[in-house]
Amino acid sequence: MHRIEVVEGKCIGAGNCVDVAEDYFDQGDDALVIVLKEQVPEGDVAEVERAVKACPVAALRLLGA
Amino acid sequence: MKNLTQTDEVWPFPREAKCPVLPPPRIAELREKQPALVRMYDGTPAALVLDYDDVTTIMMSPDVSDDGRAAGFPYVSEAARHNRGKRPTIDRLDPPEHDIQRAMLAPFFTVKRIKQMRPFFEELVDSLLDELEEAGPTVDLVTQFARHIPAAGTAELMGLPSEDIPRFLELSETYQSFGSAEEIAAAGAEIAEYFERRLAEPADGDDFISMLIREQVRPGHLAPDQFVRTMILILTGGFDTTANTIALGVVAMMDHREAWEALANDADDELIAAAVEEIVRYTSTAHHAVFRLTTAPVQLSTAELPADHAVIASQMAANHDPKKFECPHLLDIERDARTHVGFGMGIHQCLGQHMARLALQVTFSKLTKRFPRLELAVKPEELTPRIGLVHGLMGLPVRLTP
Ligand code: HEM
Ligand code: SF4
Repeated sequence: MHRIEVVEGKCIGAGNCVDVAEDYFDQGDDALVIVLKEQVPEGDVAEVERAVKACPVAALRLLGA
Repeated sequence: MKNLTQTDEVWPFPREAKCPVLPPPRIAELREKQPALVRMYDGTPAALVLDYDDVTTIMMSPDVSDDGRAAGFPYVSEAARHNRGKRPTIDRLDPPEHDIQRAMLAPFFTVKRIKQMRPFFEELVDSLLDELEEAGPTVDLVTQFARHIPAAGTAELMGLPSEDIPRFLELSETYQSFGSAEEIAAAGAEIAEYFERRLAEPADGDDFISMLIREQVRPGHLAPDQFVRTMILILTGGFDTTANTIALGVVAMMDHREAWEALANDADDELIAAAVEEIVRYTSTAHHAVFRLTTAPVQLSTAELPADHAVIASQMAANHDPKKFECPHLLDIERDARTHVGFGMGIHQCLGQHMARLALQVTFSKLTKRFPRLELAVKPEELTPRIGLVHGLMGLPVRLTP
């Protein structure tokens, strides 16, 4: 299992994480990121990694990857 | 600066007459020697950064400023300086002001909110395709098709009456051209007046503009003139970029016919999302977007930029960096191009990117399926490029059903 971590105070609400992996990320009314599922099974790691890389401000990390 | 390759060349470099799509050939020649010292139109020296990793370093560095008011900030033309250097909007602001204003706008551009516009874009593109079919067999894809899509989309998003769109299109084109400073200022002033009138009217609707006036301008969070300039930015920022990505994307696919055919046969739209990322990478229409000024020394892969140095982070060069994208001059709609910097990177990454993605996905899906045999009606080298802040074409004559 890998875990998603949000780096506090960085998100600008660009929504790329949601666009790439909508099962794991959403945006609140303020457009900021909401992590829907923190734990990422092996089979989804590639998708979540793409989402993490798509974040323009490096606000996301995938731990244990 | 001894570690910058000295050149006396003026930015922007000319494109190759034969190819209306790909970056200027001089970029490939300088790639191994980047960063190179070039000059802006007024002689301001600027470091030209071409390498993907270095371009993203510039876009993401806290030691790089985007405040257009600073002395030494690089501008591509007198008109751009005149227009942008006044009271800045988010595209030319640093934190904290940038982040405060962006946070006011971001809720209107979330993935979920933009997704709700899908039926709107589907209907719009269908009806534009019907009109094309009627006007055919030879049509101009720029004036009769591409430019109407972002214009109608932005108007829908902002809640502007559709009868105002044609005038906005004209004004926006002048505003983003390399025309005279007076001409550009006049176009800006006319759009400004429009939004100033909106400020004076009641703002009780649920549309973007009414909500922004009610929740941010009236309580004093956003100054009225900054509201007006932000509306101009959103209105003009999405028009030419999206329209020309459509036009240049078609030209690129005519040169890579297998991509056009693959999309035409892609009944379930399984390829379209990746294809649009690749088209945005390949065409890189916002080729003059990313100008910056360093505020402290910035370490790049091959050189250190000193503080207070003007920088051009060329997103079109980064998107064609062979170290990042294998055979960058090949349009390969199946590659994973999602990390392209066609929409930028860092805090200024495009606010309208999800609407642009949706508009482009719907457009390319429907256009290829409706006209699978479409072809250019002129040779690619006969197309007239649009010279301006956004790269594109003046027109694109095609035969729909040869
Ligand atoms: C294919 C279409 C588009 C392309 C290629 C594009 C490209 C870009 C790029 C490269 C930037 C970053 C500039 C920088 O770093 O200095 C940017 C920013 C921006 N774009 Fe777009 N754009 C597109 C469509 C749109 C649309 C449809 C809208 C609005 C409806 C829009 C509004 C903006 C705004 C407001 C910014 C400034 C964001 C900030 O500074 O925080 N763009 N765009
Ligand atoms: S991609 Fe990054 S900035 Fe955008 S919503 Fe997700 S976490 Fe926030």
